[in-house]
Amino acid sequence: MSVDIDLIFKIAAIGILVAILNRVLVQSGREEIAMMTTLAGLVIVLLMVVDLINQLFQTIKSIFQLY
Amino acid sequence: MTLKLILSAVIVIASAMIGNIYSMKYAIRVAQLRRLQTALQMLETEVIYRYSPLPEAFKSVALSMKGEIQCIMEDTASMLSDRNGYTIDHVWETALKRYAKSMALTSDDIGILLNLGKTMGSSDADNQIKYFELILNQIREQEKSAETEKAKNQRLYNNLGILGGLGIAILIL
Repeated sequence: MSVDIDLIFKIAAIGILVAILNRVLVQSGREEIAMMTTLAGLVIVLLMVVDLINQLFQTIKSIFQLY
Repeated sequence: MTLKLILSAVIVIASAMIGNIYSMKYAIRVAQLRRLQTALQMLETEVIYRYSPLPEAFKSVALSMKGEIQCIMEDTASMLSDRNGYTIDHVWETALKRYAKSMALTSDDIGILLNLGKTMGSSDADNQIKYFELILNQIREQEKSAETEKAKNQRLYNNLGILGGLGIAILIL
C-alpha cells in the first residue's frame, strides 16, 4: 500500500465540506451556484487522484501485457 | 506541523471574518434605512409644521442623528448657510454622494434620496407633504426588500466564509 491514508482523509473532508456548502446554498435559493460548487469539488478531487488513476492503468496494462 | 495548524487556523478565522463583514452589510443597510425614515420624518415636521428654513431644519435634524446621516445633514446645512448660490438640489446631491460610498445603501436607495432634493423647497406645504410621503413610502418599500435580502443572505455569507476558509485550509494542508 503506497497510497498514503492522508489523501483519503483529505478527499473525505472535501466531500463533507461540499455537501454542507451545497445544503447552505440550496437553502438560500441559489441552486446554480450550489451545482457549480459541487462540480468544483468534483474537479478538485479528480485533480488530486489523477496520478493514482494513471498508476492504476499502467498497472493494468503491465498485468495483461498490453504494451 | 504546529506551524501548519496555526496558519490554517488563521486562514479559517480570516475568511470567517470576511464572510461576517459581507453579512453585516445587509443588517447595516436595514438599520440605515430605518434611521433615514426617522430623519426624513423629522425633516418633514421641521419644514411643514415649524416652517423653519431648510438650513435650520437640516441642522436640527442633524443634532438628533448620528453616523453618516448626521454628516449628510450637517454638510447640507452648512453648505446651504454658506450662501454660495447653490440650489438645495445641488447641495443635497453633493452631500449624499460624499457619504454614499461609506454607507451600505444601494444605488436605488440613493436614487430615491436624490429625488427628494429635486422637489424640496420648490412648492407649497401641501405639495411638500405629498412629496415627503412619496419618498417615505419608497424608502419603506426599500426597507422591506432589504429585510428579505437580509434574511436570505446574512447567514449564507457567514456560513460561506467559514466553509470557504475550511476548504482552503484542507486544500493546502
